[in-house]
Amino acid sequence: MGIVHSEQNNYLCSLENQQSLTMRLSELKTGESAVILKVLGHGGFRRRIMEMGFIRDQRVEVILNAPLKDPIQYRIMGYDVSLRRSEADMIQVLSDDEAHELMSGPHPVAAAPSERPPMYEPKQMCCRSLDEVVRTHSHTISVALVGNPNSGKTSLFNAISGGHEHVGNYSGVTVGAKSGVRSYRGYRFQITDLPGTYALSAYTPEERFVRRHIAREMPDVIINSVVASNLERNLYLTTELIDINPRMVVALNMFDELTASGAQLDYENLGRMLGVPMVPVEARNNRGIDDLLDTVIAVYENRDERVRHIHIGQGAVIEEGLRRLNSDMSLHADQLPKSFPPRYFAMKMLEGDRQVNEQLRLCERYPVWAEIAARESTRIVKEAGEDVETAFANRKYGFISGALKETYTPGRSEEATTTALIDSLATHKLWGFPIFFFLMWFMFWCTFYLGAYPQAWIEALVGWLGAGVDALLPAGALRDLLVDGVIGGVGAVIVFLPNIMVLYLFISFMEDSGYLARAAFIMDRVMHRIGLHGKSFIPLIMGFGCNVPAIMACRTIESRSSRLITILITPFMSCSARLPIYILVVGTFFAPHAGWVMTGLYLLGVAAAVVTARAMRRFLFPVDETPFVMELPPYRLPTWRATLSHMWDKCAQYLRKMGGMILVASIIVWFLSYYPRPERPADPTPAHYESSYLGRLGKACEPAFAPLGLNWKASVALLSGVAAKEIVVSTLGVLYTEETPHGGAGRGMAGMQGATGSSQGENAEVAAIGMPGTDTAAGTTDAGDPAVRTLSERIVESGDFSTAAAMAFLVFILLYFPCLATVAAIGAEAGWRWAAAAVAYDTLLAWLVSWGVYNLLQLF
Amino acid sequence: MDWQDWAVGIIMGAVALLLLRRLACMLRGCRKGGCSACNATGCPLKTKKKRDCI
Repeated sequence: MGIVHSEQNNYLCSLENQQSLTMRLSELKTGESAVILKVLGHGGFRRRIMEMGFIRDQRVEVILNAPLKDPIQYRIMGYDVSLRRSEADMIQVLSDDEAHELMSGPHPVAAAPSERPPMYEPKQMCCRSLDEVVRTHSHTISVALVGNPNSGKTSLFNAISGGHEHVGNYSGVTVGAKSGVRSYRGYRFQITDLPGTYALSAYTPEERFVRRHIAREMPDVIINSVVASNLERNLYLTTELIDINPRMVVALNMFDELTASGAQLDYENLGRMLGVPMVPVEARNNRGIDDLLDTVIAVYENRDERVRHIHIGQGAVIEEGLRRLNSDMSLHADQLPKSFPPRYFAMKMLEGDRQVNEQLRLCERYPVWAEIAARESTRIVKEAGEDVETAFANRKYGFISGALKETYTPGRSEEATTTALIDSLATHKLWGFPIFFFLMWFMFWCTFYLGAYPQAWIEALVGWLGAGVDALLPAGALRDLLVDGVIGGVGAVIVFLPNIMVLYLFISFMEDSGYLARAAFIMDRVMHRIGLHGKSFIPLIMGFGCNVPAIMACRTIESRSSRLITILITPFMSCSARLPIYILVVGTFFAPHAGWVMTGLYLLGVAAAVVTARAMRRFLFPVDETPFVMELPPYRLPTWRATLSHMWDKCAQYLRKMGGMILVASIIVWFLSYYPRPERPADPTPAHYESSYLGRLGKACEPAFAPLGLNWKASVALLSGVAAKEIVVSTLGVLYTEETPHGGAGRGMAGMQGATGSSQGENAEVAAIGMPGTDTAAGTTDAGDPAVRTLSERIVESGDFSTAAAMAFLVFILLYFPCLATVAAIGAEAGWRWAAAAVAYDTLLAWLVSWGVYNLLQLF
Repeated sequence: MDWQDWAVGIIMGAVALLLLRRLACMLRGCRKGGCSACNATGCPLKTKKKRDCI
């Protein structure tokens, strides 16, 4: 071991001289060949280059390297490959000339464990093989020591290199680095002790120096010195280092202080979660140093299975901005420096990092990136309600908090924060669950109760609109299309917008306040029982709103098998599109027990999800051991603006669906139910529908549904639900249209009664949950016209549904074929084979369970 | 056939064209707004460019 400084005499092996011996691949001329020593750069880049064949000890030959010409052509492993000059610059090689020079001239002593400092000994002449020369150079590991001030970096440096550098607070204008060497187990460590920093931003000289050193020198392995007794603050720098994706080992320094305080840290698990091996050390007492060096070797040789690259989730708002900027940067990655990944540059540009902006200004694509960054930063500030840097920092601390929650048990009393106080209740082993279930009940209760009043107003508006168009146009196909198809079909669904808004308001508030993350945390144990992770809980909760964004939210689940299982069970979460159907049928057939029936339906969906998840975990996927972090961001009171904005974003998706899929589907359903019309009657009759295309389709499918007690009308309604579940109500309205004795318009949907047959101030869903003071199933009318009955009444009077059949219908709606938008989302996220499997499985399960329910209820 | 039937026929024709185009986009892998993962309209992982679609 020994300290080697660059200013020592020429006989000593200076680091600079050693570095200059190794060329970069880009420097080789046409026809020259070399052996690869190292691939530098961030993890993603190295992996890609190595996958192309540029791995250590491989011989590479330059086919064509013309000046000013890019890319350069190489031959490696018998294949011709092109690399950009900037990429070739990241590969250290030992050219044939260098190798001969080293074999015949002065060379370092063979790297064997020795107390003598490795020096050049000019008199020592030994013909060594090329392999040995390559091995010597490739077994030289450059290590950078990075950590917070007073984290024991210099103690660690001294312990590793045997130096006696002064330990103390580093301060002052002059910023520099100390270097040392150590030989250990056939490897030569070149250690550089960098100044202490809290982060890798560009504010202080120390931070800029450290970042520049890492970018330019590209150390093989970074040792991040972390004070074990102050993890939360120290791990912030670790998260910043994870962003730049180097090979890294965390040295948990002063570990004796942590154990002395009575705290416990499962550092193995923490390391697996972060994808960075963690080694406890006591640099002052020279303990753990050998383990640390062994781990560094294992990481350098890509032998440590704990090493993996993770993305620290920044939340939906920031991730959206990151995705937009990163996608463009990734497409033009050849313009970016290879030292750090594109995502890191995207993050820094969003933060407005001056140094990064200056560095990237030379890139051709910089104006586009700057424009995207400016736009997204503005959006993030508006939506998150805080500046971008603070938003990033908060997410990182949330990540750290989540990781420590699972692995760290504090010892003596620690500082209590508001977040900690609330969490002591919200994530309490005993009280956490009741609090959570109460909040869920409250959310659904408000969805039905608060949404009921505006629903009646919208119904009246739809009715008024339909009546208006009916009066304006003469009788004919176009009038029927507009009134029954468009206004009736879309109107039947849009009346439920208030309920959906309330539901999304609650989900947005819980998300923004940080409670949803806690809900995932307390459900973690429950989720593990069905083979999933607590992180799967959030998409499943979102599925109660709409399955499509819930399935897309599954991207945050790192484990592939957990992600897939969560995607496939999400359709069993009864989404808001099924609400209109439940409200209609439950209000019609089960009004006195509406609350229980609705709750039972939701719980049945959850049960189907649990059974499916367990079956998939058992038969299709092995148990997934990959641990990952559930972020616990600090609690904050979200601004109303932010919450309403998020709520509106989600509702806007619902409205877009109205104008898109549901409008188109309503028109198609209308068309199929309207034609053929050989006799052109003035008004539709039920008999006409039976002979229409839709009726014929329903008749053809009837045998499949007859065992469930459902006739062709129910079959047609279920088929129409394939496009979007809300269409089921529209279709029922069309099929159970009123026969009028006076030849006036008999409107199924767009009449004064609306889809659910409710009148002003009275709502089916309010009756459905047993709220006092309402009675909608009987269907009173506001116009007082006894000839115009509600849809509920028409369904009951038709005699098409028994109680058992109505329940079977509800169960089928709950479980069958997800809507086309959901199928498309599954296809995009998991692949079309899984989407097809989901369709087949869900439909089969729905049929079987419905058949069971129908036959069971018939016994009573 | 009166003018209302013609109007309905034109509307249904437009709907049919829209559906066919959606089906074609779905089969070709196009998606409104670009890639569902990164919003890019050209995927570096594939040799064919994915075009933005309605």
